[in-house]
Amino acid sequence: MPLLCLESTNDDAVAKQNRIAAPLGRTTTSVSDTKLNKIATNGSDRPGLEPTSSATTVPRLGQPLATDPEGRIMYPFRIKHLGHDMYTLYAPTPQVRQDWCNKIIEAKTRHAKALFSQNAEPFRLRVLADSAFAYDGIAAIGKQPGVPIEGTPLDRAIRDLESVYGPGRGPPPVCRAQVNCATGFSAYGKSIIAIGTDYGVFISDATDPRGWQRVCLPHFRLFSFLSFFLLVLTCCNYRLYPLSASHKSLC
Amino acid sequence: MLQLQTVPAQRVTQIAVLEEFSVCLIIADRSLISYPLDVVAPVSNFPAPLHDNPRRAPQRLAKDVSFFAAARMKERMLVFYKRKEGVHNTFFKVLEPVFHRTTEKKSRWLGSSRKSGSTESFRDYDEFFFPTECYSLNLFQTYIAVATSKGFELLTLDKKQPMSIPDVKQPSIANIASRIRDQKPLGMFRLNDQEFLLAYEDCAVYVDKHGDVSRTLIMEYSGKQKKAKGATLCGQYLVLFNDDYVEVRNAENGRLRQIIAGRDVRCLDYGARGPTGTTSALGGIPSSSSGQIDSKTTVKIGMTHPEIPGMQIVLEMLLNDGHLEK
Repeated sequence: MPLLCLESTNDDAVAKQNRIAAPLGRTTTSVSDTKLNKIATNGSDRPGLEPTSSATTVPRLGQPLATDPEGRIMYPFRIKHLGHDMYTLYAPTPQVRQDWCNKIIEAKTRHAKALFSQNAEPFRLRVLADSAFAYDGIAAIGKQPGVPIEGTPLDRAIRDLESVYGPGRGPPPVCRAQVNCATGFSAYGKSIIAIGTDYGVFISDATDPRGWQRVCLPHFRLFSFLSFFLLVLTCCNYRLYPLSASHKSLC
Repeated sequence: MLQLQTVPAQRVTQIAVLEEFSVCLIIADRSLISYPLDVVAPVSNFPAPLHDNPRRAPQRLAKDVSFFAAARMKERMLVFYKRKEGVHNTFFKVLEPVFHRTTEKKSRWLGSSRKSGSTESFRDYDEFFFPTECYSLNLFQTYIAVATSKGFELLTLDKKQPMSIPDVKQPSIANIASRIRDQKPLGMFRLNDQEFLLAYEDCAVYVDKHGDVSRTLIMEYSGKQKKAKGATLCGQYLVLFNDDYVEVRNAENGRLRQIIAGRDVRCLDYGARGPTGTTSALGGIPSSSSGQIDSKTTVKIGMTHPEIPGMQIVLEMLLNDGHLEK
């Protein structure tokens, strides 16, 4: 159960055509039987799961289509078996798909609640930064949120944060670059977290997930102060940068 | 007055703080740089005055560094870094940070170039070489475990005679040998006085303190198509990372204990017992039993924010109190 994740619930509908039914059918039939069985068994011992599965017929290779011209439109949703395959399942109507997704979310939510109530998971999570680090424009493509499940440690961490800062998004991001590394340390009696990104280093107090600030690291390369021109020359990454000395802060 | 806050470091791929030396080590654009800690974490929001600059000067320790590891070995704090030379050769250099006591009234431990232009906050301590690709280091009291493309190599700085572990030529462990062949090693972790865990990308095996296989059991991970990209030990748990999830297993018996699903999951900090060494308090276990969270030793992860598009979320993993191992 923890390894099964609902990956998408609202993919674009696809039209099943006789010609392309073969490749579509192959991807689904190879996996759908086992997957559907798995979901059905999960559902069978849960009274909340209605046997709507009978309505969700997965199109198969060579399945007669002539009966229902509407059946040519299929509504996909994806389930990821973590560490294994991604499965695309097709529902005949948006409503059936919605029912399926709701039931899966319900099952996942109950599972998360059960794990929490039994204290069965060794780790909980604490948010260190939720709104400071965005992806840059290109990296953001394909990094859309998944289907969040209530009651998981990740969800609880976010709700804990909301209980302090209120719901909704935090302040705008201070960085749009990939987060690569982090460390914690104490300085001057404070506990501080530092995060290394593709765009330098950021720090915040360990207790303040929204207090991230960029660190202005002086470069180790050469610099020279041309006082007559009020100009600083710095050499960075094999380039020479002139910086106006009238700027108080140059970062 | 001009504040010297120049073009900052760019692509930062590793960061660690050596608190007792008041330095922050950073790999930025593949250069290993040492910054005085008060540059990274200023005392106040107001930048220090200009006359402080020589002391605040960063020091580049090496170029073309892919990773470093810092740990206390035999009462010495040592910093190991990997320098790749050629395609298949790996050089490791070992530096020792030294206290640099100046006679000035504002005595600071580290980081100045007052001594005839050469900074002496780190001194060359040792070096060693592997004719293979190397991925990570685990540092113990005297031994260094190097994860290489040929498996784990164990050596000491005194002898520098690498020993391959486990000894895959022994017929009694043929099945383990065939299982771990060609698998990328991720890390070697001490379970107790007697046993170590060798974590590979697909499975983990137990060895004794001599490097011999101690159990016939192979700990298999959940993913059959997704291999683990990183591993660390936290508490009594082996924590494995790949793009899609964090997998938590009881290190002692291999049971799956937790899955943290996400997207674009990355380990940002391997914690106190990870492959990058123990830079802070030795062997500390992150717990909030005292009510005080100590983020120094926690494992930190990043992933796509599950609710806000285009955002990353950074989290630390805290051991639950009173968690019962069943």
